[in-house]
Formats: sequence, structure tokens, C-alpha cells
Amino acid sequence: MPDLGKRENVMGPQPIAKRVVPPAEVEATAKRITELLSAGKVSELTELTVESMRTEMEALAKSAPAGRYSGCAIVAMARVNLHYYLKIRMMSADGEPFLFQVRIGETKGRWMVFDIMNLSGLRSAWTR
Amino acid sequence: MQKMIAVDKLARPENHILVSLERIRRAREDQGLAPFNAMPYEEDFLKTRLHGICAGEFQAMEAAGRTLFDFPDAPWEFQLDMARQVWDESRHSEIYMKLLEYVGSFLGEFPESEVLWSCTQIDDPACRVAGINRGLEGLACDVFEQIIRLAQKMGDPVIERAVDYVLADEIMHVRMGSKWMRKLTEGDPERLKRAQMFQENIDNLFNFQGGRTSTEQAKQQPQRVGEKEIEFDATLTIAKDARLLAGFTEEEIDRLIKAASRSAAY
Repeated sequence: MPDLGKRENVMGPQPIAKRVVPPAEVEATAKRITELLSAGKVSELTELTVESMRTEMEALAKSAPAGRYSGCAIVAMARVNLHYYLKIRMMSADGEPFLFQVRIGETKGRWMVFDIMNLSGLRSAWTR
Repeated sequence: MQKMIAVDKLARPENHILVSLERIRRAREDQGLAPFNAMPYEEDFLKTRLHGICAGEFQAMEAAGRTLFDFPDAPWEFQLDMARQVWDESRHSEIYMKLLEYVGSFLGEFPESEVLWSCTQIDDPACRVAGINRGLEGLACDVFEQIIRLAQKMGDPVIERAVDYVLADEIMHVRMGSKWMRKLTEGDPERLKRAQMFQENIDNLFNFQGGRTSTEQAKQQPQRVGEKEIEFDATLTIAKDARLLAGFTEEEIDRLIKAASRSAAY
């Protein structure tokens, strides 16, 4: 649903509540994750990850060879209360993107990764 | 075209987050929240509930369409009913997208779970209508009735009426499900039993571990809705009157209520 912007002059019922704006830390954490992935800094990545997901983070880092990716984009974002799911695409020079999804949230003043899904190469009903 | 599309093959735009119910449960538990579903006392309740319903309406539309496609040998009247349901669910999807905007949300603000779609993974149309039309649409009756009561307490006719219009259709979908579950299994008690078991499994899946009670048993607690403080349900409720209108028997409803309270002991 597109953001319909200023609506005071629109007929009909107006929204009764405001949209939640994700905190700046969400984007900053996404940037940090992609930087570390691109650089292959696995130990720093695992430090950014809750203990129960560290093996998954190591596996994710293994799937994204260091130095291969030069750009990234957050292609989707959704929240569960104060935690945010981010779907991130990293672009490589050879055209093969790396797509993954993480859930991040703040714990004890730090933004951490709570869940990881490697979506690269997965087929869906859109693909044959 | 492929029949019986698997759960992990549900097509969604790339800018959309689709995750399993289990992952959403973990996300909630990691934040010290009740598993599965936003409870009425949570600040995000209205947004997340309307979002969940909106995603559910999309999947219900897809599910009815798939049922129509997956069973080409089913009776013509059955296929017509499924096609009509696709049209109903598409209108519901639009209504809920508008309601999301109305409460300051949008489709995609929260992740979508594939839970409704997972109920299409059965190759008997009798089970499909038992599970989806009777199980899930029955649950929709409960959820909608609770939102209508919340809207009444909020003094919000937009939500109250919009949801009421959709509820009227859902009641008919349950009735349709009951009709076809019986017709398709006529003279085959084993098949009827399988369909009822499938529905029971779905009912149990949505017991929310004791987070549901009858409307009368729901403990009331103060909640802030916008500028207002109201007393409202502390649990997700089972709407007996709406379910009776939809053709569920007293016995079926009592069984559901008992099963919901039993799961609290786990």
C-alpha cells in the first residue's frame, strides 16, 4: 500500500493512528551486517548475533565469499513488535546476487541478529 | 499448471516478508510476548490483527482458487461456490488493506505467515472445505466478532461496519463448507471422519495454548486505544453467537471451548 501522504483535504475517514517509523538503528545494523559479510569478517558477524544463531551466521558468511559483493539493498522490511525482519540483496560484479533475510532487535542496548535465512537460489511459485 | 502448490512455493512479491508461523512465534517469545498472536492488550493489537486478517484474506482467496483448480472433477455447483468465494475474499482483501491504512499501517508492515496456505496441503476437497471453510473461517468469525466489539468500545463505526460486512460473508463461507463437507462425503463415513479430523487438527492449531476463551469467560482489563482508556478482553475469544449463525452446533462450539481451556494446562 503506497504512503498516501497528506490527506487532510481528502474526503472520508482519516487514519486514526500514525505509522510507526523504524528507528535509524535498523538501517545502520543492516549496513553493518552487509559490510562485515562483504569483508568476510565472520567473528565480528557472530559477535553481532545471538548465541543460538551463531552457527547459522557462520553458514551464511560461508555462502557469501568475501570480496565478491559490492553493493546492497534492503528489499523488504517487516516488524514483529520491536524486532525487524530485513530482506537484503547484495550485488556482485558477476551479476549473481546474494539474498538473505535476518531478524534484528535491540537487547541490552545493542542491536543484534536473532534469526537468519539464506534465500539465495530458492525457487518459488514465481520461478520455474 | 502445477496442482497442490507446496507451502514454500507460495508466490509473493520480493518486497514482502513471508515467514513460518514458528519463526513469528520465536520473534514474539524473544521479546517476552505471548506466542503466536498479538493479544488484545498489546499496543500493536489492532494493526497486527488487521494485518494478519488481510494476509489471511489473500491466502483464503488463493486457497479457494486452488481448490477450484486442484479438483476439476468436483461437482459443478461446488466449483461455482469456490469461484464465488474467490471473489468474496478478493473484496475482503481490499477492505482490509483500506482498514490497515485507516489504523496507520500498511500491507507489508508485519511479516506474513503461510499458516492458512499450509491448510491447503490435502488432496481431498471434503477435507479442504472442512479445514478452510469450517476451521479457518470459523476462526475468522471469532476474530471478527472480537474486533467488532473492540470497535464498538472505541466508538469507531468505520472498523465496526467494515468488519461486520466481511463477517456476514464469512458466516456464509462456513455454511458452504458444512454443506459441501456433508455432500462430498455422502455414503462414505470414513471420508467424513477424515474431513472432521482435518478440521479438528486445524482448530487445535489455533487454540493458542489457552490464549482463547469464550466471550463470556474473557477477563476484562484496561487498555489504551488512542486517547481512550477502555476495558477489554485479555484473551482471544470464541464467538458463540456468530458460530451458531454460521451453522456450528452447540456441541461443536462447546468442544472447541473445552479444547481451548485444556491447552492452557500444557
